[in-house]
Amino acid sequence: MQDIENNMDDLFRKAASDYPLKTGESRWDEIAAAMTKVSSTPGMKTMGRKKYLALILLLFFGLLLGGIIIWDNVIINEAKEINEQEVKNQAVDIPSENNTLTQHNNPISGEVQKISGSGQIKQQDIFLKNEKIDNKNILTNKADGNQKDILLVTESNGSIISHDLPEKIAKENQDDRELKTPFNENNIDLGKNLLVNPDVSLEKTGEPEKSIEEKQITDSNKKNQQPNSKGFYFGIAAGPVFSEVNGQGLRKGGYDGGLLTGYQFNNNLSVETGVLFSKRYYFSDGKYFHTNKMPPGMDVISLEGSSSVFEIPLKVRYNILTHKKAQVYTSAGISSSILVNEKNDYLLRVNGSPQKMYSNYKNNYGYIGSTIDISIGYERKISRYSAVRIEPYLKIPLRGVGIGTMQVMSTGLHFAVTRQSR
Amino acid sequence: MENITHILKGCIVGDHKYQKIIYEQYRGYALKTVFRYIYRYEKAQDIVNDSFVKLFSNFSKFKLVSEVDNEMLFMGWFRRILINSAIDELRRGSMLPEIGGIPDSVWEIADDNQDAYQRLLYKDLVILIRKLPPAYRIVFNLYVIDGYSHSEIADRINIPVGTSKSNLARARVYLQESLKKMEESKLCRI
Repeated sequence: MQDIENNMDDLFRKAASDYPLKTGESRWDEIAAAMTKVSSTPGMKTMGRKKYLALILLLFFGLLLGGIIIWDNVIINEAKEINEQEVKNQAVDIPSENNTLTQHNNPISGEVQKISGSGQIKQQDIFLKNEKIDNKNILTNKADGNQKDILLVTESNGSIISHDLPEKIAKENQDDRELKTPFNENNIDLGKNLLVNPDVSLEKTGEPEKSIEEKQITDSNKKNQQPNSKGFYFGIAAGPVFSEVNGQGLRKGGYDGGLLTGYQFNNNLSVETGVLFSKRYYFSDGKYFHTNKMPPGMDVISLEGSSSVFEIPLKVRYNILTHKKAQVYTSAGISSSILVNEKNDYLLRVNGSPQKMYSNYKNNYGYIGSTIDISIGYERKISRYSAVRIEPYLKIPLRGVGIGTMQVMSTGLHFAVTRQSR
Repeated sequence: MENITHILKGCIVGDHKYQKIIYEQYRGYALKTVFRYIYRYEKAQDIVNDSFVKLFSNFSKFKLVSEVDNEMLFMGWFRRILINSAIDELRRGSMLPEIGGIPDSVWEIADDNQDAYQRLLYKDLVILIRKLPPAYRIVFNLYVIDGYSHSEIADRINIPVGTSKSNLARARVYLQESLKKMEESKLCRI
C-alpha cells in the first residue's frame, strides 16, 4: 500500500512540474506599475514603524508618570484642604471687652497656635505657646516681636492657678470644667471656645513633653529621612531586549514589558516578581540547533527567528547605596518562561540540496527556571509613594528553549515606574 | 543568459531590468504552481502578478549564499510566496468548491512527439488534483507536491494535524479511484 502511495506521489510530482499550461502574454507593465506604487507609498514595514512604536511607548510612560505625580499632589492637596477646613472649623471668636481674638489651629501639622486680633491688640498676630514646666501647664503668648506674656497657668488636673485672660472667660472655663476636654489633652476651654493644640500632649508616663516648636523640628527631620518603606509595591516595566545564541552576537533588538510587584522588607531588602511579555530576535548557526524535533533528513545550515515569551521572574533586590530620594540596587534571581510562539527562517540542506523554509510554531511550552537574572539599577522617588527606575540586566540561560533547544542569552534595559501601597 | 547570481543581485538593489528578467524566466513556473491551487485561470494569473510584486518588494531581504545554491534558495523562497498567496486566496473564498469546467485554451497544444503522451497524462493528473475539494486540494498539494509536513500544514492553514492527515488520506482515495476510472476508460476505448 505504501509503495502504491509513493508511486502515486512521484507520478503527481512529475505531473505538477511538467504539465502543459499556457503562460499567456507578459503582464510586466502591470507589475512595474504596481512596484512604482508600492515604492512611493511609505510603508509601515520600515524603521518608521519602530519609531512610531517607540513614540507610543514614550508617550504612555510620560502620561503614566504625570498621572502618578498629579494623583499624589491631589491627595496631598486634599489633605491640606481637610487640614485647613478643620482649622476653619476650629476658628472661634473670643469675645472680650476690648478686643476680639480669633484663633487658628492646625492640629495636623502642629503649627503654633496663632491668634489674630483687633482692638487693643491692633491687628497684631499673637502666637500661643503651651508648655509644661514643673507639672504645670503654662500658656503664653509670643507676639511677633518675641514678647512673651503668661496668659494662663493651670495644674495638671486642669484647675487654674493664675491667668491673664478676660475674667468672664476664665470664669466660664472654671464653671464648665466637667464639660470641657481635660487639660491633659491640651485643650484649654474658653467657655464655648476651644483652643486645641493636640501636638502638645501630656503623656501620663511623666516624660517631659515636647513643645510645639520642638515637635516641628522633629517632624521636619523625619521628613528629610527615608520614610519607612516596608510593604507591597507594584509597577510596570518595559524596555529593549537583545538576544544571542551561544555567543554568536546580537543582530536585531526586541522588546519586553509587563507588570511587576514586590514586597519590601526594609529600606534595603525586597523580593520582586511579575509577568513580562517578551519579543526576542535571534540568529544561529545550524550546529547550535538540535534537530530532534524536526522532520528527518533535514540538516539546518543556519536560521534566523523570533520568539514570543511570557516570563515570570523571581528575584531578590538589595539596595547598595541609599540616599534621601534615590538608591542604587542590585538584584539576582531566576525566571521561568512560557514560549507561546516561535518563528524561524531556516536555511536547510534537504537531500543534499539547500532550501529555505519558514516555520511558525504556536504551541505553548513552559520552562521552569529557564534563566538566571542579574541586574543593577538606579531608582529615584518622584513622590512620596512612587518611583522610577532604570535597570540594565542580563539573563543567562540555564537550559535550551524552543524547537531547537537553543541556549538563548538576553540582555536589555528596563524602565519602570513603581508605586508603594499605603 | 546572465549569471543567476548577478541577476539576483540586480533585483536586490531594485534594478527593473533584472526584475523583468526574473519575471520572464519564472512566470511559467509561478503559474503552474498557483494553478494547482486556484481553480480559475484568470484568478491564478492575478495571484502570480501579486506574488511577483511581493517578491520584488521584499527582495532586499534575500541573502545570497553561494553561486551553486542561490537559484535553489530563490526558487524555494518564491515558491513559498506563491503558495501563501494562493492559500490566502482560497481562504478568502471560504474554501468553497468551485464550479465550471476548465477551458481548453489554457492548455498548451501538445507537440506530436514522444513526450506528448506523457504531457497529456500530466495534464489529466493535474486536472484530477484541481477537481479535489479545496480543503483536500491544499493538503495534497502542500504535502505531496510541495514537501510540507503535516505540522507545517496545520500551522499554515490553522487546522489540527489530525485533520491534515485525514484530508490527505481522503484526497489519495479520491485520486486513486479517479485514476482507476481513467485507466478503465482508456482500456474501453482500445
